[in-house]
Amino acid sequence: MDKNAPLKPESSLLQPQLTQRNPTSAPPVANFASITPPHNPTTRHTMSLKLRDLIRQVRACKTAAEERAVIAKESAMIRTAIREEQEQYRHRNVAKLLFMHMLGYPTHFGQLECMKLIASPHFPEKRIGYLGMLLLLSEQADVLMLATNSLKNDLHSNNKFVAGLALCAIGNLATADMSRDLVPEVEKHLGNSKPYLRKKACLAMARCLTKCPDMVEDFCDRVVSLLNDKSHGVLITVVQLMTRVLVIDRNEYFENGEDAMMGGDYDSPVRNAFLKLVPTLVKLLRNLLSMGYSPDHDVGGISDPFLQVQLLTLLRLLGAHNVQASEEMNDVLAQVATNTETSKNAGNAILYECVQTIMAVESEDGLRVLAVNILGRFLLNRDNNIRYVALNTLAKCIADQSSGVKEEENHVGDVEKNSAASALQRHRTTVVDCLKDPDISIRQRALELIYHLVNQSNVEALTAELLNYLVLCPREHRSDICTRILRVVDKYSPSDRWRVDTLITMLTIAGRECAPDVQSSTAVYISRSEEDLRAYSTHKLLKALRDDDGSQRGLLNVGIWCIGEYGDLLLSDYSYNPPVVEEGGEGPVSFMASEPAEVVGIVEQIMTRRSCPAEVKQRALTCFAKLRERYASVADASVLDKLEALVKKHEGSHSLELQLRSCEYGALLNAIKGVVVKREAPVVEDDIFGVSGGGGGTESVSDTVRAAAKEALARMPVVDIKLVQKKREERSGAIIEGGAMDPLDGGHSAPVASGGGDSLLDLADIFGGGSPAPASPSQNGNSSFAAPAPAAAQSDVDLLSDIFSAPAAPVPAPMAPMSGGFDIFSQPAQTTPAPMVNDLFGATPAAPPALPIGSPVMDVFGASPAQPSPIQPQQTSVPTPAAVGGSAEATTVPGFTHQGLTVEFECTKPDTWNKQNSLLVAKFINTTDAPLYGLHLQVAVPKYVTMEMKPPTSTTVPVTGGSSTKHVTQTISVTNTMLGTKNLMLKLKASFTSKGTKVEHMATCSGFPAGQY
Amino acid sequence: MADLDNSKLKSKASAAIGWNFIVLMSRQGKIRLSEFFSSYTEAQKKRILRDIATDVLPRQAKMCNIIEKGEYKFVYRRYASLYFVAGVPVEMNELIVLEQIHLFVEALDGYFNSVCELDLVFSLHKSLMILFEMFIGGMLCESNRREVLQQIVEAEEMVESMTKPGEDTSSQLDDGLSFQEQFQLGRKPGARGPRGNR
Repeated sequence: MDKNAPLKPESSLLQPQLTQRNPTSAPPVANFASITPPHNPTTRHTMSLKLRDLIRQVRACKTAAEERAVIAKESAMIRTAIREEQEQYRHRNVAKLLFMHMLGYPTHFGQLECMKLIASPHFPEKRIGYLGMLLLLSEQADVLMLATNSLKNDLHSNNKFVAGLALCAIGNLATADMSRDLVPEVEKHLGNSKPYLRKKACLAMARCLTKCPDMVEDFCDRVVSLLNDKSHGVLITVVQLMTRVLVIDRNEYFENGEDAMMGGDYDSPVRNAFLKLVPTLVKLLRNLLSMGYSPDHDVGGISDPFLQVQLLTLLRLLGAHNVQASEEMNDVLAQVATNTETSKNAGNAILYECVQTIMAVESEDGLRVLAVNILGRFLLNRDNNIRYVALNTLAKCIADQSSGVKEEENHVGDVEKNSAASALQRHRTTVVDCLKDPDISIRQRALELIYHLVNQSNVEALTAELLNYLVLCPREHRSDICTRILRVVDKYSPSDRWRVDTLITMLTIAGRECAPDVQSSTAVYISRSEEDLRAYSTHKLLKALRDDDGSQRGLLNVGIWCIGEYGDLLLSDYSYNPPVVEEGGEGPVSFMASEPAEVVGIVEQIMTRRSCPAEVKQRALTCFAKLRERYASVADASVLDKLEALVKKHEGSHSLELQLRSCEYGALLNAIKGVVVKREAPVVEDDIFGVSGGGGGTESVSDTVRAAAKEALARMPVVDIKLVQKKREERSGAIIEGGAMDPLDGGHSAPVASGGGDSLLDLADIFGGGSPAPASPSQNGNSSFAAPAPAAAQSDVDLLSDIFSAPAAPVPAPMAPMSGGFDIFSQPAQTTPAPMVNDLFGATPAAPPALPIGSPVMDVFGASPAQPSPIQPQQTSVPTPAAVGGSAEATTVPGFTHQGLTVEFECTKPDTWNKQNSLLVAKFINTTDAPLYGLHLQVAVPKYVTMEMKPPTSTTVPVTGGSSTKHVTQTISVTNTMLGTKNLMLKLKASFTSKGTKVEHMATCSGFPAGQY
Repeated sequence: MADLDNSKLKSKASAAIGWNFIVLMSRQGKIRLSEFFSSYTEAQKKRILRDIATDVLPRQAKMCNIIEKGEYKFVYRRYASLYFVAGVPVEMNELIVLEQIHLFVEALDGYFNSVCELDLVFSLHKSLMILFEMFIGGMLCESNRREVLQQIVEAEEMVESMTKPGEDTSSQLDDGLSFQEQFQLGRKPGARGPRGNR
């Protein structure tokens, strides 16, 4: 320490007269470029640039191109030197490569040079070699394995620096193979007499164990003795090593699928061994607290905050779910929490760690209150970092508690919950103010916290704040916030009116960014509400549309949809008087009646905007068609004519979807009027579905057709809100983890992957995103789903095909939206390839033949929430499993067996005339001794196969055999369009809860008899 | 390391230790030092460096020194024109990371005797040596900066003593700033005291 290392020979050049500081006379850096590298007498090969000269040349470059040229030249020189094996420049070249690497230039060609330098017996070269290896090589580099031997040799070196370098390299770079090879040497150094090597060995060991978790148990004993070390360096590394080991151990433990509650207590030799050390750790921490001033470890008046924080982290891992350990550390935690000096950042860091530990372990209630109070104090701190961690920790506490309650551990969480929640409510205004902070990190944290803060009583105030924030926040966050607001509104809304109001306001602010399911949910809420509220919403939306500049896509979608649906309500005045006008609350609201022409004008204006998205145009067409029907009796002929003209305007559109809608709606309107337009109908030659188009057009339109057409333009059925919520919960359930699904709830939420859309069947799509497979609502069997059309549709199949003057069959069923949400505005382009489209492409899409013919009627809606209807008839056309079991010969194909769940497929051919269709009945067999809950099977098929899934008979699989003989089954009907050339293959993903552990398993099932399935 | 930190299994007691990376970036967006302790692909590294330039550099002084980036967060500290940005797992104690950064800077300062950006440019290998002396695999190895400096100086003396005559091993790599460059910095050349004694 006292040695004066003369490391800078140039300082001898000191000229006293120039020591005066004069920045203006400073020579420009560029001058250094002109300095030619001094000739080195030892240079025998080519002239090698010195490192500092390279740096100066680079710094002198005025443009990036110049710099690239310098580097390219030097790279070439270095490559030559490497090729010519110029040993004396090896270390210099590697040092240059380090510099080039920092600038972001490729340096891979120098990797082998590093290896050679490491093997050098000369320490100066070795040192640079190690540096090069640490920087230039990544863990994946192939040459790294060449280093194993050199590392081993160096670990045996008597020189502490050589061994230290090797340990450092292992700690930073070791791969699993290297770890296995070198771990004995590393372990030996754990007991080295020099603390310099002991501490490095600890961290090298941490790396080795991370890479090879199976070795953990072999080394945990070694750790114990190191805790008595005198050196802080060794202590801090050993504590980190223990923390790492515990994390590894826990992950190993749960990955091996041991029977344990998620996040609950677990038992492993390592953890048990470490639990015995809690008193030692506590003593260590206490010593630190009572230690006097030591200049070596003092940071802002606190002795070694680094070690203190690491100790607290380790205690947290040990004390969680362990009452005894928690008791042992209770006092010292209290001591840290009360005695830590908070004027400096270091003290706050300790306090922060301490609070986290108190919250996570089974600490006493008094201590928890203390911790929450510390957080409250943090929240009021002027330092943004402190506020940030306070917000962060509070959100974490509350989230933990809510999940803790779910796990029925509320006996612990109660006090904490109350104290944390009440502290939060006390600081509500502070948190809300954080939303206005210029600092994005603070805002994000505050936002997160506010979601947790919302309850029945403050929902209105907080939502108002959230909406305010929505206006201010960056665009990219809006979508997320909208979804969160929707969830909040969903859960806590005091009244329907407020909910609809809030959602419309949200759309006017962030309609551009909000997710499609936010839009559809809004529409669903409006459609579900009272007639009075519908009128209110439609009026409000009309006004919003009028004021908008046409860029709020979501608003346009919802607004136009509502106007189409409830356009008739716009024609009368609307006024609303709140029962009690609160202070500052809304007064009476009233809207003037609108003229039909005015309404039409507004929508038309939106549609004719250049920037109007195609999606909105499609919606607008539907709207016009519906308005034509709504206003049939009230509006002038001119308005009606205009509406018809607007509908038909796009018959020649380049956008297939627009053209399709335009033609279909035109036909519908004609049908209603009783006019038949003859069209040169494209006749599809191969009518495989046996539904003939019946030629061109018929002479007259029957009343039934007219009724059906009217029905087609009638109001949409009301969507079952429970289902929507269910879907959303399922999705959010994936985010909020640990929320085990209630098996009862799961009863009608089993997803049904409906075939039809190519993209849906993309295997990667289904399993990649982790979103639940789209569910068809039909399974619910809820009568509120009464679709208006099917009754009429089924009987009028032929007539309807008349209307379209084309075979109506090849229309795939509208499929459930991809997002898994319930999407009123399902992407029509995918759901309704219509006759014309079909014709244009000259190909028959692979439509599921079993589809009901009634579906075209549904198609007319274009964007229809009434997906159940096509599937309802379907259910009648597909034989039930029971019926099949009796008549046909069944082949049993094993699916998979995993963790006590066996899945088998009983395969039958339901239709003798179409071998492509098969019916697979999945049988779930539970071989464990406890029921499996929350069963959820997802199936994906290759693109040439279409599939239709029914919900399982139950999501709870009782223990099979013995008492219950009835199997849980799930029916899947598949159609292999390439039967004979390609075999049926299924990709399966099952999730279920076995004894409290959530199990997920993926498997491929291809054991179907070749050529038959 | 990252694989552990991203573990699906989360308990009430989560713990993450160790940095994923450290980047020193100048106010102008020039990288002065970067080391990735966790393994990242080149594309990911580029992305991180770009994110630092766009997210960290424009921040105002009053704002907090933490920026969330999904799986990791940036915890940074500014010293004059240089940003020290550590990438740490989300669960890590941000305040202690700030202290760790400061510890590193103090060590650099002690070694270079009032360190400046140019020191780091010309003596990259030395700052890296200090970094690896203090952090292994992203975890803190020594909390006493005197100890760090003493070891570094000792190792350098060994390098000096082993240098063969005529070989430019040490002086070549260690020559640091020239007189004019020190002058440019407004530093009194040659006035540097013995290292590691501050």
